[in-house]
Formats: sequence, C-alpha cells, structure tokens
Amino acid sequence: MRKLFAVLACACLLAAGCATTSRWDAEYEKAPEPVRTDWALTKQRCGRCHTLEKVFLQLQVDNDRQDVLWTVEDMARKPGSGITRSEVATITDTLEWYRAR
Amino acid sequence: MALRLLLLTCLLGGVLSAQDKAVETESPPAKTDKSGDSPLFRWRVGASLGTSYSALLVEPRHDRSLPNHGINGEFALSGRVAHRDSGVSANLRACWGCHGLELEEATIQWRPLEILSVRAGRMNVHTGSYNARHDFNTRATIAKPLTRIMGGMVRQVEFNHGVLPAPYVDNGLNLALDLDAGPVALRLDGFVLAGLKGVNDDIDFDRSRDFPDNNGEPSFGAALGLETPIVSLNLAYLWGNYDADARRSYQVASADLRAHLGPVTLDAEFAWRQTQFSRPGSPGGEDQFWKWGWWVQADWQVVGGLRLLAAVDSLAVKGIYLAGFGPTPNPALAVTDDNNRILRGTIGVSYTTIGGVLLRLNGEYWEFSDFNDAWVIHAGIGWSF
Repeated sequence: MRKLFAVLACACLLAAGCATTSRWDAEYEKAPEPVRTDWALTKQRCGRCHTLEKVFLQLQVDNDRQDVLWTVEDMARKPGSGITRSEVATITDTLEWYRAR
Repeated sequence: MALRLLLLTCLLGGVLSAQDKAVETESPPAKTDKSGDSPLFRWRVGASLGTSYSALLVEPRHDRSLPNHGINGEFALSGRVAHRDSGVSANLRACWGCHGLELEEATIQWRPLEILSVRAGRMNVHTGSYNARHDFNTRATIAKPLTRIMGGMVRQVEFNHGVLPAPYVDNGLNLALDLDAGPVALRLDGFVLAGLKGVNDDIDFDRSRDFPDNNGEPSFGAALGLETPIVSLNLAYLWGNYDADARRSYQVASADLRAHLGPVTLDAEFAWRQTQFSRPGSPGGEDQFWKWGWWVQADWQVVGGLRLLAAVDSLAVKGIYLAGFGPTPNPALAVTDDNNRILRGTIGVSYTTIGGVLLRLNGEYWEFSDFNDAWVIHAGIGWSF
C-alpha cells in the first residue's frame, strides 16, 4: 500500500513538472489588448468550478454569440459561480472572440 | 472492469489526440459561421467519466467499515436543448455509478420574465453551492464533505451517511428569482418537492431517489444565494415528512461560503438536520435526533494545473444510538451511546493535464468518538467536458 501511495504521489509530481501554461493562454497572446485584459477574469471565473477544456469544447459547437451568452448566463446562475451580471457580457465577449477567431 | 479500462483507454487516447492536433495548429483556419445550421435550437452536451481507488488502512483490512472500498467509477452524460425564440429549455443528466443508472436531471426550464425562471421535473435541488459541484470531476476531493458524504465514508452504515445527500435529486417544482445590483447578484429559490424518504428511524438517501412519492405529501424548501466577485454565500432550508404515514418530519438548514482569494479557494459549510423518530410501540413523531456537520477546505492552485488542498470536517449525531445497521432508538441493539462524532482531516494533490484529464490523490485521517480511528487513501482519474 505504501508503494502504491508513493508511486501515485511521484506520478502527480511528475505530471506537475510538465507544461503548465494552457494552450488557451498562448492563443490569447495573439488577441487584441482588451480581450487579453478580460482573459484573466474569464479564466478565473470559469476555472472556479471546472476545467477550461470544458469551456472550449463547448465553443466548438456554439454557433454564434447568443449561444455563448446562453451558456455564460447559465453558469452565472449556478450557486457559488461568483459571476455577477456585469461580468456576464465581459466573459461572453472574451469567449466569443475565441469562438469566432 | 474490462469495460472501465476500455473506456478510460479510449478517453485518454481521445484527449492525447485532440491535444496533439491543437498544438500543431499554429494558424487556425477562420471558423465558418454556423448560425444557419440549427436555427430553432441551441444545445449543449457534456460527459463526466472517472474512476477511483479507495483503501482503508486499518486491521483487519476487510472489516467492511468502508463499504465501497476498492475501485469505483462514475460515468455521466448530460445535455441541454433550448428553443432559440421562446427560451424554453430541456435538461437531462444521467449517471451510472455507485447506485446503478440514475436519472439526475430531467427538467423543463422556462423563463417568463428576465428575473423569473420556472424549473419542473426531476432536478438537482440547489441546497447550497456544493450540490452544483458534486460531480466527480469538478470537485477537489474524491470523497465528499461529511456534511454531504454518501460513499467513501468510514462507518457509513452505522452513521447512515451525512446530513444531506449530494446530489440531492428530487421530483418537483422550482421557482427562482434572479436579482442584480451592480457587483452583487442575489438569487431566491423556492421548492415544492416529493421530499426525502425513509422507512425506519432515519432518512434513507438511496430510497429518497425512488420516483414514487412514499407519503403523498409535498416537502418544501427555500434557498438564498448571494454572489460577489470574491465571495459566494448560500443559505438553504428544507422541511417535510419522510415516512410513508407522514408522521415523522425532518428539517434541514445549511449555510455555505465560498471565497476566492487569488490562487486560493476557501470553502466552508455548516449543515444541520433534525429528524423525528418513533420509540418502539409508539405511533411515531414524538422524539427526535440531530445530525450536524461542518467543513472547511482550502484549495491552492500552485502553478498551472497543479493544486494542493487541505480540509477539516466533522459530523455529529446526537439523540439516537448507532447500531451495526444504522441509527436506532433501541439501546439493546446499539454499539455506541447516543452522542457520536467524527473529525476528519484531509490533504490532497491534484493535477489537470492540458487535455483536461484530472489526476487526484487524497489522504484522510478519521477520528471517531466511539469507533477506532482510521486512515484512508483515495486515488482517482477522470475527465469531463
């Protein structure tokens, strides 16, 4: 049992040593300045409850800004999201840039 | 087991393949506008697949005080479809896990006003913010807090789980008001539900998921949520009768707080339940016991996908004895007195890969007032989208 514990701990630490910058961060370095400013907020709010992978996979099936807004509003209504009404538009615009890029 | 391994292999293969594809794409092609593809509906699908290993580090090793030790899995599929013009949507989520195939959500949601929404059907009842994050792949720890623990609990049978189930899934109606005032969002919820169910002297979380209403009487609930950019606060209250004769009532109150302080997320919750039970030979409802718990957790995003967490939680049961089959009013059957407590400390590390695969390792120390203390480790791998 101790060996299993040690192996799993080593695996986690090894994984941690791998790439730590998301490819979404890299994408946003190419974005216009206002979008880059809002990216920090978007990443922080969405990353509170789930991975950003989940966000960007959904963007693959969204058709337009209204679709993105629909999802962001949905998330904002979840208890503990910490997303206020004033942030919904900012997050939507940021994700919409990514969807339409 | 073979099926689980096959699923995980496929998933991991898919993740790695997707990751490679994205890295190679230096200049992504311009995305075509797909707005004409689905003019009537917008939709969202999701899946959450994970498996975990839990081990109880006590002697004898197979004393069954951790009923679901070993390898477990949770596999969920979800979907939401909304009509573009009316805004009416349908939500569906099914999970195959510890209790077999369960329908967690099957609701219609209608928003007649911007601030008012109506949800009806089988729903995840928003009693506190943890219920919204109960999914195996969205929570930091593999086991749930003692306030809401179900599986992964040492002495689960004797204590009969935590204060509230997670998720709390029930059939009914939910009215919600969403109010916004600048940086603050307020949400008020009202629920009419079939209610929690039980047969003996306590609520049975498994039986509570049965579709028929066992006593024909509705239960009621209310919740208040406050969202600010840094702190989220939720209060909830539930009341109902859990037995078939509608003689024994329960009431549950909970309060939880979530704070985001830079890379650290702090969670705290207090939950309390008063449950009526009957002495042998009585018609019921004339006596009661209390179950309450608290939970504090700090989750630190060290760098990238690496996170460390520490948590302390507690569960107490007072006013009823514990037996090998669960709480009992009969001291002759009991293995403890009528005042029991658990204190648990948890440390953990998790790592989310670029593809979104979540790896977790937790260690727990369980201190019991009336049973032997125990060490437990949990390890898990999962992915959700």
